[in-house]
Amino acid sequence: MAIDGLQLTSDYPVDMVAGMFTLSASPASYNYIDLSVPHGLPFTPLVIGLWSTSPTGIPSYPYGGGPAFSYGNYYDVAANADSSNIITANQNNTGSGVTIYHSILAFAPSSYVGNVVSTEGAGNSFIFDSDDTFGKLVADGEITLAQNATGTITHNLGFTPHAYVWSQNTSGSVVGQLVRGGVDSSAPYTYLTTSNLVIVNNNIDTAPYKFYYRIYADV
Amino acid sequence: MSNLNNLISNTDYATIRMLSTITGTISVPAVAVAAGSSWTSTVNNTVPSGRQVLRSNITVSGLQTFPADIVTIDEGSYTLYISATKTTDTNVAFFVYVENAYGSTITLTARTVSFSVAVLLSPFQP
Repeated sequence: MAIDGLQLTSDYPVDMVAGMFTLSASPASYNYIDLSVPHGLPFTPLVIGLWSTSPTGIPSYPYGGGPAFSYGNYYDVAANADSSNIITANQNNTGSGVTIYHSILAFAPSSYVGNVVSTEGAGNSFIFDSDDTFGKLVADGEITLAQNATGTITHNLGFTPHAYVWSQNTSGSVVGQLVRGGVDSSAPYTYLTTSNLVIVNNNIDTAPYKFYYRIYADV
Repeated sequence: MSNLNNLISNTDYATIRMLSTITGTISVPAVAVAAGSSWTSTVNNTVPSGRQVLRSNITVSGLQTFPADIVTIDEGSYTLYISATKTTDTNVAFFVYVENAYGSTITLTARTVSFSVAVLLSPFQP
C-alpha cells in the first residue's frame, strides 16, 4: 500500500503535540486586542489552530479567515509565538463587539532535542485506533532565506502532500504560520509539487527569514 | 517527561488523527462583474461533528498548489478569495469569492480551483 494510504507506519513519526492552549479576547466593534499568554515551553513553538466566535469552538475558522468574508466587514485573527508567549491578534472590523475563542496546538521545531511535559492528559489520548489514519510526518526542518531568495525542500513522494510552513524574521523572535496562500510579490509564500516544497522569500524586509516546515504523507 | 526527538509514537503526547480527505473543484468563469457587485461559488461538504483542524491544499490552475486554508490571488483588477472553512459543526465549505470594489465592470479570468482538504481530529475535547 502506498504510504499515503497507511494508517500507521513505523517509518515515520506521528505528530506529537507539545502544547495545547485555549484563550479568548473580546474586541469591541472596529477595534482590536493583542493578547499574549505564557506557553512555558523550552523553545519557540510552531503553532497551528482554529478560532471561533462561539465558546464551543463550533464552527471554527482558520487563522487569517472567518465567517464575514465580505469586503470591509470581517474579522482578522492570527496566532503566533515567541520564546515565552503565545501571541494572538484579534481584529474586529464589524459593527458589533465579539469574543474570539482560540484553540491552539504547538509543535516543537525539528531542532529541539529535549524533554517537555506530557500533553496526553490535556486532550485525546494517543491510543492507536484502526478507524483513523495517524499523520505521517515525512519531513520537518528549517531553512533560512535571504530577501527574495527561493528555497526548495525535496520530498520526492510522487504525489502532492500536505504541509505547514512557519516564518520568522531573523531580526525578531516571533514565529508565525504562513496561513494565506497565493503568489505575493512583497511577502513570503510557499507552494507544493509532487517532488518539492518551495518557499519564496519575497519580502520588503531586508533581514533574512527563517522558515520552519512539516510535510505530511496523508492525502 | 519524555524526549520528543526521534520518537515514532509516544503515549505521553496528544496527536492529531486524520478523519477523512475531502476534495472538490470550483470553476471560475470568464464573466463580467459589474462595479459594486460580487461573484461567488460554494461547494459544501459534510464532515463528522466535532472540533477539527483542516489542513488544505488549494490548487489554482495556471499557478500552483498552495498549502493553506485560505488563498488570495491578485488578478490585477480584482482579488480572488479562496477558502476551505468549517461553516457549521458538520459542514466544510469550499468557497471562491470576488468583490468588484472598483468603479467599472471587470471580467474574471477563467480558473479552475481544486481543493484537497484533510479533516483532522483536534485533540481538544469538544
